[in-house]
Order: sequence, then C-alpha cells, then structure tokens
Amino acid sequence: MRKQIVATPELCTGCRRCELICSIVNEHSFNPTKARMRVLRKWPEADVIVVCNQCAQTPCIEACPVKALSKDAKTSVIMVDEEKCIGCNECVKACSLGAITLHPEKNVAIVCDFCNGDPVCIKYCPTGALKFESINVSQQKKRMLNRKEL
Amino acid sequence: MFGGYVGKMLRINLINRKLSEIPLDPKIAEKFIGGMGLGIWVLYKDLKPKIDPLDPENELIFATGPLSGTLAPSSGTASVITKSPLTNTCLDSYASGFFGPELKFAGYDTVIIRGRASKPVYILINDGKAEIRDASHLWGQKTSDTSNKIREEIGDKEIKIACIGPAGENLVRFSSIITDRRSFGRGGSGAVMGSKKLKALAVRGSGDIKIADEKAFLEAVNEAFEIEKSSTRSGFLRDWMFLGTPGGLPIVQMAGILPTRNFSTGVFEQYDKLSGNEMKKRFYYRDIACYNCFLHCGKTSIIRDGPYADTVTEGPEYETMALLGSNCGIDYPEAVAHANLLCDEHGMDTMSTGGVIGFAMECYERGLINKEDTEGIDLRFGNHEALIQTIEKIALRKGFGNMLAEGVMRLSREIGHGSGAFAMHVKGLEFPSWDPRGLKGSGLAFATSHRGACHKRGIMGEEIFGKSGFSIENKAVSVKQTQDIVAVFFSLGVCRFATMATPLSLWAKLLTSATGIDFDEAKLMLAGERAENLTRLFNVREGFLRKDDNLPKRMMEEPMPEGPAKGQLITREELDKMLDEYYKLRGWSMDGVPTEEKLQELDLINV
Repeated sequence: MRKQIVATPELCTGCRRCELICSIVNEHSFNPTKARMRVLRKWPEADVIVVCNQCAQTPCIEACPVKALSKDAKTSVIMVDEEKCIGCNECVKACSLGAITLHPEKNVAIVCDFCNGDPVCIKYCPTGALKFESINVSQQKKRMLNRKEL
Repeated sequence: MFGGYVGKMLRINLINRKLSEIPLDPKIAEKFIGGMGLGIWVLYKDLKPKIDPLDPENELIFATGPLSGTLAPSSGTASVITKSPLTNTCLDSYASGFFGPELKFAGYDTVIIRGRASKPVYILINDGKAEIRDASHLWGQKTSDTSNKIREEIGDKEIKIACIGPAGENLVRFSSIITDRRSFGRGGSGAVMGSKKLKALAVRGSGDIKIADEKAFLEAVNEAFEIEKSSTRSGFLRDWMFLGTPGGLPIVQMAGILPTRNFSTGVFEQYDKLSGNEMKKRFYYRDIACYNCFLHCGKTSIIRDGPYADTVTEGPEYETMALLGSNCGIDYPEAVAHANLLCDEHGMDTMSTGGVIGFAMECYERGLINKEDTEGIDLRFGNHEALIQTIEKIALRKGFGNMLAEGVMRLSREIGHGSGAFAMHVKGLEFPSWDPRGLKGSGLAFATSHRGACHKRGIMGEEIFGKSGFSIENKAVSVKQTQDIVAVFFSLGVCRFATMATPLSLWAKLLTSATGIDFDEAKLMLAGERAENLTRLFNVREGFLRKDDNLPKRMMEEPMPEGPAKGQLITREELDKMLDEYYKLRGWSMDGVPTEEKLQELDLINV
C-alpha cells in the first residue's frame, strides 16, 4: 500500500519545525510561505497540519488548464511541471484542503512530493505527530489503541 | 549581508511619521551580534542621559538575532529594548511565540521606534512595506481582542502582533507588551509603548532567512536535536516539558526559598496545590510550543467549573504561580490562572503584579493601609477575590490601584512607615520568585543585573542542585559567567531555555555556519561580556553605582524564619565581599564603574 504523511493533531504542539525543514530543503531558505506543509493554530483547541493527501480524485489535476499537474503512478504524489505551469491559481482554488499553493516568488504551484520518497519533516517532528506510513498501518494503530484488551 | 540576518533595520518616528530603512552594518553585526547586544548599543547611542522614559525621546526597540527564525533551537525569541519607566535603567525584555521570526519574514531584523503619535496608532509591516495606521478604534481594547481585530481588519489570520492592553495605555509602570499570550513581561515596556500612543506592531511576510552553509548548519541542528532529546528524558527539563515550568515548584519549596506572603518566609504549606502536577490534574488541556521549540513548555489551561469557569489561558508559568500564588498567600490554582489571564489581557507583568500585591497585602495586615484606602477590598493574604479585584484596579489605575500601578519602590515611599524594608525590589524591579537568603549567589545576580532583580541571570539551578545556596564562595565568577552567557543567547535571538542543555561550542557552530562569520566560544563570550558592559555604561550614565547594587532590608536583616533555609540571610559583609569580588572579575572600579582598560579590551571606548 502506498505511504502518505499522516498527522495526529492530538500530538502536534504547533512548533512548525516541519515547515522549516521543508522550506530549507526545498527552497534553501527558512520561509513557511514556501513550505509544502502548513500548520495552523486554533487557540486553544489544536494545531492542525495541512499537507497534500494525494486524493484519489484529483481536483487539482482536473482544474489545471495547461496540464501542468500529474500524479506519479507509484507514489501517488502530485507532480508540478514548472515549465508548463502558468500560476493561474485554479489548482489552489480546487483543492479543498488548501494543501497546494503558489510559490510567493516564482508563482508556480508547489505541493508536497515526499522529498523523493523519504520525507524530511517526519524526522524533525519532536512529538511524533507526523508519520510516513500507509493508511492501513495508521488505522491499525488507532484500532489497537481503542481496544486496550487486545 | 551575512546569512541568518535579513540585513535591514527600520527607524520609525511617530511625530513626523517618517520611516527610514537602514542597512545593518556588518561590522556592527559581528561586534554586537544582534538582539540584546545590538539593541542596547542603539539605545546607548541614541538616548541622552536622564530622560523620562515616558517622554517621546525614549526609543522602543524590537530586535531579533541572526538565529531567530532559523532551525537553531528555540529560535522564536524577540527582544524589546528601551529605558524602563519602572527602574530608569536600560531594559531588555524577551518573548518567544512567533513574533520574532515573522518580523524577519516581514523584512527587518530590528525596528526602532521614537517619538509619540498625536493619537493612537498601530504599525503594520507587510512584506517590507511599513504603514502607520489609525488605532483609535482599538484603544482601550484588551490584548486578545486587539490582535483579533487587527487580523480581521487586514484580512490575514497569520499576522503576528505585539500589542499593549489597557495597562500599557494607562502607563502602569510594570505594564507589558503581549504577543499571543507570550509576554515581553518585565520592566514596563508596555508603558513606554502606551506613552507613544502606539497600540500594536503587526508584522507579516514571505521573506527568506538564508543560511551561509546549509550542510554544516543542519548538522549542528541535528546534533542539538539529539542532545535535547536526551536532556528531556529526566530531570527538571522533563518536568517543564510535561508539567510546564510550575513542574519545578516543589523543588523550590524543598529548598526552602519559595516566596511566601511577601517573602516573609520561604515555605508555603499548600505548595503542592500550585505545582505543575496539580495544574495538570485540574486544568491543563494540551502542550503548546513556541516557534521551533522541542520543549513545548507552554500549556493551554481551560478551567471548566467553579467561580473561575471559562478561564482559558496559556500557563501560568512558575514565576506567576509563586508571585501571584504563594507570595500572596493564595493556594487556589484556578484563581492564579484567572489572575494570569487578567494580567495577559490587560498587558501587565504577572511577576511585578504579584510582587506589588504581596507587598500591599503585608501593608494591609500591618495596618499601614486600611479598608478605607482599599475602597472596601479586604486585602489580606490568601484572599483570592481581593487579588482579582486589585489586579483590575491596577490595570485601569482605579482608586488605590493608581498607587499600586507605580510599583513597589514608589509605593513604599508613598506609604512610608519603614515599609521600604520589605519592599522587595532591586533598582525598582520587583523580585522574581526565588528568595536569595537561601541562594546567595542569585542574590548577587539580582543585586547587580542591569534591569534590576532579574531571574534570567540568576544561578538558581546551580545553587539548588549543587546545594551551595548558603555559601558565598565562587559566586561572583558564576554570576559573571551567567550574565555574559545569557547576553550571548539573547543576542543570538533564542530562548533562555535553549541554553539549558546544549553546549556553547554547538552555538558557535550554529552561528558560524548560519552567518558565514567565524565565531568560536571565546568570541561569543567576548560579545556577551561587551553587551553586559554596555548595559553597565548606560546605567552608570543614569547615575547607578555600587550603592544601587543592593538588596532589600528583609534579605539582609531578617533571617529566614523557618524551613530548610531557616536562619539564613545575606549580611552586609557578605554582599560587600561578593560585590568586591564581582567588580574585580568584571574589571570595574570598586564603585561598579567599568575601567578604561576594560572598555579598551572590549572595544567600547568610542561607542
């Protein structure tokens, strides 16, 4: 089963290290507006991590008028052809999560691509709120937690 | 410009509304680093001696360091530097959260504000563009409402804001500047901002913070991460991580130096009710972190029932639990949480507020003030309702709150009758929550630190864990080292807690790889010593000398009455011995003035 970035909001303390390692690795600067994942603080309730979930029905790809977006067959990540991308924002509007955005300077779409198969953000999360695993595994864990007698 | 820094400073004149962008001089950056060092240098150069801190000539400086906003540990810290209306010394105050990094994303390392607006304004810096905007609709608002309204008005929820509440507007001498429940707490920077009719500084940006040598920097970051992980497996850092800073309160009680009833004793019978453990059972909701912080010592507190139901606050921190708790004889943690919320919403230093009210309570119990003076409030130790009512009166300068708003030093002069003996302050800054009778080295630190009785430069950990609090041996060298090293971290732009586990050598690596400037430990410590000497030059220029490096009579003449530190006090002789040793180590005269030789060594002659 394919892996994805799974976030557990109950463990997130909102430190935003994930945004920072993402931007330095991908963009060579510390700049949350260039990160492919974002953390939103809802005071006092929770800190919520938003990142691409590689939806089965890809509204972003459907919305792109110049076919600049595509999905990798093996990993399911959304790939952006920066040459083709015209920065029209249609994918940004189409994504219901707010997970795809425009690069503030280059004005092309930027979206999480798992850093070539080994997402760095996972290693930088201090609380274990971020995991790179299949839905199967994360659901399994959840089910086990809820059935303590097992 | 070097990596780490944005490379720009912004000067704002609120009188003529002039905005000037100034490049950060690389030579100055290398000499003073940033944050505290840079800010104190600007203040020292720009200010004439003996001005009234509430006059337009005072400057309010928001400064970040080269490591603020990077992945260097706990890098969310910004500093506010100004002349204090509480002490008349130079003042540096710190808050983490997310304001500092956002200021850099918005395009500036440092903002220097001078003058006074003719009517309430706020400053918005949005991606390099600064604007002075009308704030008359915000004047009078509490800090949360102010921040929410500004975000709504500009239409961006991610704007970071440093603002004052009614206390700063009313020039309460210990009012603070709040940034989303983190506080530039001590010394009255809120009143300086209020005197300038400046309601808020709002920042937002999509700028870059670049690193000179990314590979080396990330290696150092990873090294730091490993050290942080092992440092929080046990001990007080683990306590802070899961129980917040009040997790350490029982340790202070065990050492017999927990401020109780205006420092009249050092043990509080119900101390465990104020501990992090108890707070977790009663009302902690979740852990909350500042920018890039592994420790997440912040705690969201939600009180669901009882008279303080619907109190939602961050913290309270240890200092607050002690100074608004045991120091006021209060054992009711929900009441302290509510007091914390009020202080944050009105924009007031919880520590000084606790110090002033504790003092007022003692005066009331001694009959120096009565129920008529307090307009019917029964200001006895332990009366939590009185605590809450008094806080609101102080913030709004209502009735007798107006006197209390002046701080414990001026209040005791007003009340007279020898109350100065138990007015717990140094240079006018109310004591932090550590009784120096059992921590003599920290007593020296409180007596000599530039902003008054400052816990950030204390050596409490060393003295408690090393069980050396009753001795004056080797304390001068410890205090000097601590003051200098803290100046380093506050110039780098990181949280005081970042210093706890990681060695200085690692920070030299972080700074060198981030900026591209070669820094080793010695150069860092020199910069720290330089910053500390500059604060001393500022204070000497204002008239502060050895006579002001002093402690209240209670610490020097009243032995601790009970508990593990029973019988302890700091005698005149002991303090003098420590001061002599300290001044010698510092290279200052016996009156506490930096010598020509020392200034030469630190390249501070024609500063």
